Amino acid sequence: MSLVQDIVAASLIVAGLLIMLVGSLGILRLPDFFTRTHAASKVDTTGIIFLLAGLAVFEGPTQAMGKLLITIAVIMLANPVAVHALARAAWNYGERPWSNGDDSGGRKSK
Amino acid sequence: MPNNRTTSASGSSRRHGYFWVEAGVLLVFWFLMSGKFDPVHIGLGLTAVGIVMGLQHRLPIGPRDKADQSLMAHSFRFPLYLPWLAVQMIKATWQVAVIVVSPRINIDPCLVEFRSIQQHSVAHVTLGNSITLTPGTLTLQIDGDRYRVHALTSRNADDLLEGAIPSHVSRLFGGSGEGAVCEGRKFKHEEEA
Repeated sequence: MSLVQDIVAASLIVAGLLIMLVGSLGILRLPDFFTRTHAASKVDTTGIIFLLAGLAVFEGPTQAMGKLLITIAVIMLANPVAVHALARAAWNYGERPWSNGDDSGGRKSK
Repeated sequence: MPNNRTTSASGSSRRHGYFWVEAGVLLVFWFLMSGKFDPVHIGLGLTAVGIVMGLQHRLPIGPRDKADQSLMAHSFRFPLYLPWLAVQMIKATWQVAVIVVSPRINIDPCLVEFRSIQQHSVAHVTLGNSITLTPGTLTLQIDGDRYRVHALTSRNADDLLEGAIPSHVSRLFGGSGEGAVCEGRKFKHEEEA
């Protein structure tokens, strides 16, 4: 376990945590379901991947690193599918996007 | 869209060969994950693969027609797609981070609809995923080859309609990239008829 490896791993993990913090902030600050989903989907996925990449660097070239890399690939493929399922369900339910100059917070009746 | 799956004699024999390929891949994956080669773990692995293969013939996966074969032929390119996607995701995260952290949230959400010609239904799934993970766009609906997308800013909508992402996905699956975006339009939901 070299110092460089530790520093890279710690930086990636801290970066991942900061990214996820930004994602949470986005969920609080953005105006409606769809814009919040932008924050929750892209930002959280990137955050988790940074975290897992940090853990993979921390592990070094072991079997656990391979498992972490496979996990990263699965998250990259599965997360957007889940997000799309949520967004589609919201749209089909009658949720409509907020746009500039709209005070209703995106909540429109069907 | 390959909906009419046939169970002709040639189809089932090709299917039969694919069965062993799939079982082999699963078993290799088991050994990669377990990393142990004593009789107990080998036995567990064989049992698990047996159960999975016994159940999976109900799933509509595996090459059953021409479009599926072409998909298999291009599947080796898939690992090339992940690094490209990772770069797009970092850009997307940066954009959302800038919007969220700035004191006044500066967004102008709009909707985008377009049609995209792709070689295979898996290409459509990949495109839907890619749109969700690339800057400022979120796939709302995919109906056949019609897409409805939510864009965080007007600029993001224009970038999507320029067609770099859909044609990239089209080429990934062996298409020409032509017609990757057609009949595209950008609008606010109030303007929807």
